[in-house]
Amino acid sequence: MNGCSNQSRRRFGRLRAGSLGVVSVLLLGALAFTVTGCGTKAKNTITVLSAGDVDYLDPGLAFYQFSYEVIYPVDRPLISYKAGSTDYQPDMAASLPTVSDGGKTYTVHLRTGVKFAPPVNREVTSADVKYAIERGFAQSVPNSYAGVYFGTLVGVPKTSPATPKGLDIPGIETPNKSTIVFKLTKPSGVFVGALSLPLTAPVPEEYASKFDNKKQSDYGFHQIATGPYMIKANKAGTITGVGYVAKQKITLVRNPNWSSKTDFRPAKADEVIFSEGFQDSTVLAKKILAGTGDVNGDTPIPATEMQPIMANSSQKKQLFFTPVSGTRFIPLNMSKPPFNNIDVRKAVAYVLDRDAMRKTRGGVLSGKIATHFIDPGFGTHGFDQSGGFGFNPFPSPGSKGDVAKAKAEMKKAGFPSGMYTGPTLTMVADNVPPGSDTAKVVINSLGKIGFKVNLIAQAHATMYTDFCNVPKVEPNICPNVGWQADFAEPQTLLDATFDGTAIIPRNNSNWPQLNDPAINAAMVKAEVIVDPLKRYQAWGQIDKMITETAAAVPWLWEDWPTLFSSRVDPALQLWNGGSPDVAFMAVK
Amino acid sequence: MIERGDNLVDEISAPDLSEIVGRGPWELFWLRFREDKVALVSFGVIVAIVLIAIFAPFIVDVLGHPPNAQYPNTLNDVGTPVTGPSADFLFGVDKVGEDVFSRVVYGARVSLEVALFSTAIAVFVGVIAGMVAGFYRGLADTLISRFIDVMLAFPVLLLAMGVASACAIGNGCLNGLIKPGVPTVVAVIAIINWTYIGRIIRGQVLSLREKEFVEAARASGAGDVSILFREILPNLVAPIVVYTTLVIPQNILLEAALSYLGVGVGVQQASWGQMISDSTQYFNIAWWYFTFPGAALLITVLAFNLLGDGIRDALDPRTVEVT
Repeated sequence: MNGCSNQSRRRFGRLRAGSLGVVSVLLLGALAFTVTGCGTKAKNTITVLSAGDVDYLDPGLAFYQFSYEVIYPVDRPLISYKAGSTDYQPDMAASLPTVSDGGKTYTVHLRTGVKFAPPVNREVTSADVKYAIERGFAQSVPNSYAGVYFGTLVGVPKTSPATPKGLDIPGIETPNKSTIVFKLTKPSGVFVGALSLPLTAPVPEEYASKFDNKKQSDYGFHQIATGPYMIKANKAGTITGVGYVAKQKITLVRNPNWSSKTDFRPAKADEVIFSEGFQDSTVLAKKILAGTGDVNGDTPIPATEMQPIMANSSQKKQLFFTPVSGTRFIPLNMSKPPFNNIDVRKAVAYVLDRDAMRKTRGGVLSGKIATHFIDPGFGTHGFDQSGGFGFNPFPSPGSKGDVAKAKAEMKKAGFPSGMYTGPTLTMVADNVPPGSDTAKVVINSLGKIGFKVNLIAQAHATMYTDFCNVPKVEPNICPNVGWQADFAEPQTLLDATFDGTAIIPRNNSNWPQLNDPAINAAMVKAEVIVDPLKRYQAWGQIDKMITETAAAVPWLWEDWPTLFSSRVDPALQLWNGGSPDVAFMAVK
Repeated sequence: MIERGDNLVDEISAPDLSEIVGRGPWELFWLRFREDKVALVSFGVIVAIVLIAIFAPFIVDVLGHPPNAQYPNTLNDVGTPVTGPSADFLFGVDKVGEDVFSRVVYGARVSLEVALFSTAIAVFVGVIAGMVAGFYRGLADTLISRFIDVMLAFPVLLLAMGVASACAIGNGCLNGLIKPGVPTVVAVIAIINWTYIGRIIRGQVLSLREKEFVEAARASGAGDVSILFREILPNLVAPIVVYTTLVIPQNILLEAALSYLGVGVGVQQASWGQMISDSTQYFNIAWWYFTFPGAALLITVLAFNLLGDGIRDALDPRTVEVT
């Protein structure tokens, strides 16, 4: 498909009299290419605009909504999703796994005829999937969820080896080239869902081991695709400087070894460009409306742009709102006063003006006020079971906060005037909007019951890595956190965030440091329920228990706005919070 | 017609010696200054702004709402500020429903505090450094001048952003000496500025030290420090005053720029630069949000600039030299 570049590589020789004829043929040829092939190549390109970069390009490490927009069209996990759907779609697998042995054995048959991209070029086998999962347990490939979802595999190493060299997990069996059998030590309700994570995308060991056996694997910069697209690479397979320029651009081109017969994706575009660095979301939105960009990758469309779009009948059709499958909440640090006292926490749950907080992110266009932690996107998979919209233990008129009820709780907590009289609280928040605005509104609400707050503003990533995720130095409040489901199971919403046994000294996600024995025990029981309805019932109950401890105050079930330009047919990764699905988008 | 032989001295009216008063340079300065209408008006404006800053709590009590009080009802359904200048909110509201009028008034405090303190520190350090470098020459001069050269080579805004970001974390820099917020911004601006005044003063001192009165002082047994503070420093007052008045508006703008870039005094303090930065997203919907802080910044900076020009013109360097 590279006719044009061949043309441009033709050398300029010395023009002699007789070459005039050659020149005219060349000119005509060039003209012909422009009219037919080369000219439309630029037209059949999709451009995704974003502010920042992916977290990782290695499918064994990526753990970020935006990264999945690049990874899923390029690397095929065992299970993934069609655009516009949240049903499990067998991807590398030919069909959904058969579950046996009371939920302890999962048998997966792979599709045949799926090939790795150049320079590996050979067919994918079960050994490649086995290696892909095993490498996530090594220190050189520090996958953040391998232990959580695959830790129950038989023979998982107790301590992570430095590299995947020689690592063998007996619980992953490969009886033949196209079959994998997973054996677990105990039943798991979520193992099928976990197979939709990119850790299961095949990795060719003979090519990858030289990268994985370093102290920190850099396979991500040399990764081999199995999907309809690959990240543009040089002949050796290196993408740095070719298809990947950090913080600037990622270029996807067609995987020459991909066959549409083995795939459910249309993959109509010839090229996909992720153009990064758009810090100003207003500029980003305007570019999409003008058609110089095709969709927003990691940045929401600001409310000031959304309003005129909604008022314009043709532009309105380009804007989509997708429930994000998660909740934004305000965790209250229970490990130290004053939030070790449940009455004080309840007071905060009553006083926070959630409507004003929502206005900082776009008001009614940004989603629904949250009242517990399993969000409406889950529907009958846990949302209804946790009481749906009706379960709201700390209601207030218009969700604007109830100062009277808050003061009543403070009196119960031992503050006779209803106003807090203790030391100033510490808060670490975003230093840019909308996070900084949300923090300001929270401080304002807290002030109504006498709390004074010392605010430290940080960059978003630093806020997590240096403060909120480190229990030893965690402030009283971290108002800019939230949690999104890893896949469509309520366990993925509530475990890492509220399980007392999940508290770790660094990279902690149980921000309130909630450690309630009854809740912990209920989670242990729920994790092994294989029957889906019973499982959702159990987690619904757990959601109610957590909400009633007021360990954290939920405030937003977010709807993510995705804006497409008028030159493309839209397609959404509904399962990934409304991110664009480039393998299903097409230029009109 | 004057006849020959007449005493010309008698005819040409002799100057009435009783009317000639020896005017000191400051008197001359004042006489010239008060002729300059523009400078006088600017001085008046600055006095007004300083008074507004000092009496901010009273003004806001009467005419506005507390600067950090939020009124989400003034925003529409999607969180956009839709309440413009009105009886209740003289300058409208900002993006979280705060009173823009109150924040503009309190913003005057931040701008003036930061500009005055940082300028004072910069001038103090710069003058000392310049005097030492210019007077002693030799090694001291080499060290100080080269250090100044290095600092001047740094891109100002990047240096400011770097230092401000580093000191915005937790307890600040220098073991809590420079806390995040106003102190950090003051420190950053002072660090950037002292080099300019240092160079100017060094140049002045280099020429002053060659003057006869310095030689005379040395001959009568005065020590170095005495010469520096009694002979040289008084002659530096004029350039110091001029420089100070001209650099204050630059520092006000620098503080606004740092706040605009997110490394300023922090989101809780009302700051004109911060407000202008926050308002860009709403410029076609909430015009009041950037107009009033922008106008306040413009008027303040303009007033200081015009005052500085007036002072410089009134001082007229030639007069200073003839002592």
